[in-house]
Amino acid sequence: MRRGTEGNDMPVYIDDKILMGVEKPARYTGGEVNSVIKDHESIGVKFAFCFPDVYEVAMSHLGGQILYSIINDRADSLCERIFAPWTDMEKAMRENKIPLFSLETKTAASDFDCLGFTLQYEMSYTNILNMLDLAGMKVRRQDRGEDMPLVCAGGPCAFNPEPLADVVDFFLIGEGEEKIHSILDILAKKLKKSETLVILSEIEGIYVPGIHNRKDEPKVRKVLIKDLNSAPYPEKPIVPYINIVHDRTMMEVFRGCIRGCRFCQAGFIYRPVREKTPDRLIEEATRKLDSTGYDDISLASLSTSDYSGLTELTDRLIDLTDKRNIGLSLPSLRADNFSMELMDKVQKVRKSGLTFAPEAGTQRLRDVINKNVTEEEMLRTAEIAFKGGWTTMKLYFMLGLPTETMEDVKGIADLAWKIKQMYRQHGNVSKKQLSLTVSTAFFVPKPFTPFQWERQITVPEMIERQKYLYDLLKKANIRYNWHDYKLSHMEGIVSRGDRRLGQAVIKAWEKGCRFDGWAEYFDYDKWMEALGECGIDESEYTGERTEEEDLPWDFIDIGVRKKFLLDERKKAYDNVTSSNCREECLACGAACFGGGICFEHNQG
Amino acid sequence: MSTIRVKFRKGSEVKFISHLDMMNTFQRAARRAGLEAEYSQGFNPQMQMVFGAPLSLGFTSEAEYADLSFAVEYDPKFILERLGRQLPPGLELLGAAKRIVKKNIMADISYTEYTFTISGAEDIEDLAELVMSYESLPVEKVRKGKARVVDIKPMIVRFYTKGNTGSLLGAGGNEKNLNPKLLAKAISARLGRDIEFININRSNQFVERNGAMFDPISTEAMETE
Repeated sequence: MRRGTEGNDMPVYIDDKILMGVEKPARYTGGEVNSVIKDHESIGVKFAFCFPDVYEVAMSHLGGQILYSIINDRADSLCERIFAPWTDMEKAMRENKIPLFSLETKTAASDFDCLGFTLQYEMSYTNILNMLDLAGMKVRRQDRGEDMPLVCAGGPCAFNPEPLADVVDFFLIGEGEEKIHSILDILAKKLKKSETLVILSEIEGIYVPGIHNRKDEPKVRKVLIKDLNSAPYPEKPIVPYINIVHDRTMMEVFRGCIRGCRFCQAGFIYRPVREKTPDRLIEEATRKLDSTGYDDISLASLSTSDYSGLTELTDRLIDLTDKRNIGLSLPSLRADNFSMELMDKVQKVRKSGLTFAPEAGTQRLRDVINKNVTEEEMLRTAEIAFKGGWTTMKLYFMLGLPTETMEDVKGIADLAWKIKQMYRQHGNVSKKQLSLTVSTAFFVPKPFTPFQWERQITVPEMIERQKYLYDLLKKANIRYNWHDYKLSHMEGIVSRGDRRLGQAVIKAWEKGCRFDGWAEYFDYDKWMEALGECGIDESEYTGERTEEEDLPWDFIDIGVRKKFLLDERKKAYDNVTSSNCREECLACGAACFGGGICFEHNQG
Repeated sequence: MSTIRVKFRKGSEVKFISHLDMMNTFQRAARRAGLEAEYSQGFNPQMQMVFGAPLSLGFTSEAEYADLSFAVEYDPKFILERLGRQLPPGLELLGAAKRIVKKNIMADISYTEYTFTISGAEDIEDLAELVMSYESLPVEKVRKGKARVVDIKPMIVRFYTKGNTGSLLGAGGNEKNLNPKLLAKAISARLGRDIEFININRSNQFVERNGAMFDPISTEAMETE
């Protein structure tokens, strides 16, 4: 065996007094229904699924549940969960010299063979460094010896791995279900780390920063599940004791999105769209409800109403949920194909608020971003909803999209006002006041989108636009929620970061940054200091990139060609929209994977 | 339609699960067991379940109770077996019986008994005897942000210590409730030193019938008002 800790790992001891002194101690005690405990002595590969955020967020992540069940279904492997301790627990752990531990068996993180982090959000990177440090591990991969576990990372942010290239031993680009078995098979050989990494580097979808050269051909191509119907799903998801963010049975209806909104990274990196059949989904729903006892089920996908079997699926799901007093919710609805019929269905058991994301306030700008939704459609949707007795509506927009002018910002307030008027005309069935909320986030240019070359607006511009909208909505007496511009600015810097920026991430963590995604802990000044000390001019990262330059993530191949992204960018500037994948194939390149909607099309 | 009272153990595996989360855990277990529960009316239908007095976070218990209402008639033995199988480690059903009395468990409990380990009183020969010799035992109680001084002496029915272990039988339930932590605080204040009760376990809860104490799941408790 490669490692010094042969046989039984000693569980970490956590005194009751420590747990009594922290908020929600059940974040750290494990033992939930459907959690899996295996004997460490008889198991070959010990893998820890690590989520760099607090329990309630981590447990709401569907991908983690999928990996957990796949790994634990193997006789030769085990998977346990390790999440970021909240700051109170971190303090107690450091004071009492308690290392980072797993929830299942309280095994020290450093006793696992491999720690696998999921990168859902750039602003969780400092938490990864902090978790490694709490585990007693060096944050830079080159400083970690043979006695320390391998550190890998996957998830959407792994598509631009460079900011963490000095930290992570290997990245998995794409969908984890596909290659996890190959990774476990290699880890099971118990070779030296350097030998393991060489073998891993030859596997499709795996990027090993210590081995791969970014100029190498062929590029590192993402891996994906060709047929979701034959992909495993967790039949017995873990049921947390405490309330989590998504405290319900989650159903992934399809992966990818047919739309191609030009700002949306998920819309490109998860191409092509692959759907599950209603049969498969009903089987999955039944098993998950039986095994969890949840009283709520939710369809989760990038744009649920685009599912081709939605009518059949909701009808059959309602049969299932009605009988059991279970609530059904359909998030991610689009305002253009929303029907009264569908709405009647979802309100049959429990009625929740409606959320729509027009993203931009004027038709011109919606055309620029390829959000193919018209004002007419949105007003019609509002009318249907209000006539149907809905009284709560949330509207999501983005500020700072490419080509945005103050006229477009004003368009947000105008649209919200029209919706408010619609309620006065059609909505006073229940004599209840409309609860309308407008929320804005700032546009963050993301790798692998047609807007990957765009600049992010500067902080003064952010403040100006937000203030302008704030005043307009205040006059109209409409509730307004906004994102912190400092955090969006930081996200803009890290999202298109490179290896050099990674040094600033480490520096920021050294200065005490963690839980950056949480307003109460985000420390903009420390981040700015870290950038300054690394000699980084932030505008290099937030500014416009030239179309000729080599982008830090260009060595990764997502199937969609760079040329296609460029064409889409040009169309954006001409206010020209693109068809969605179901209407017409635009030959983006994703057909190279040999599955999904690209082929349904050719057959049809 | 039937209401079944269950008695259960809350072990150290789940001692950091709050009262509310434990209720949720029972609801999910009942759904996994495929039991037809009675639901509340209204916007957000909830299973009809009434639990006894909340147990403080960090305490274990050998005697927790819940009244579970079902839409159909179930044999208590069937519930014991079916629901029991779906509960996570640490939550263990100890008994089940059909409730005939009207009063629910929350309203019916009168006394609770705890056992614990005492730390900080090693040099006192008989702590209980000393404490019981006091006329009164005032302690500051904070409730809803307001502090007030209460005398908890009348709430003690029996306090017994031997070596570093102790047991306390006191008022329990909706109106008056004596938490052993509060007693430790009162003793510490009185003696001017830190005395702590640790490993606190609720060993019994009682209802009162004709001046006598009974286990809430006993025939006497369930069939007489």
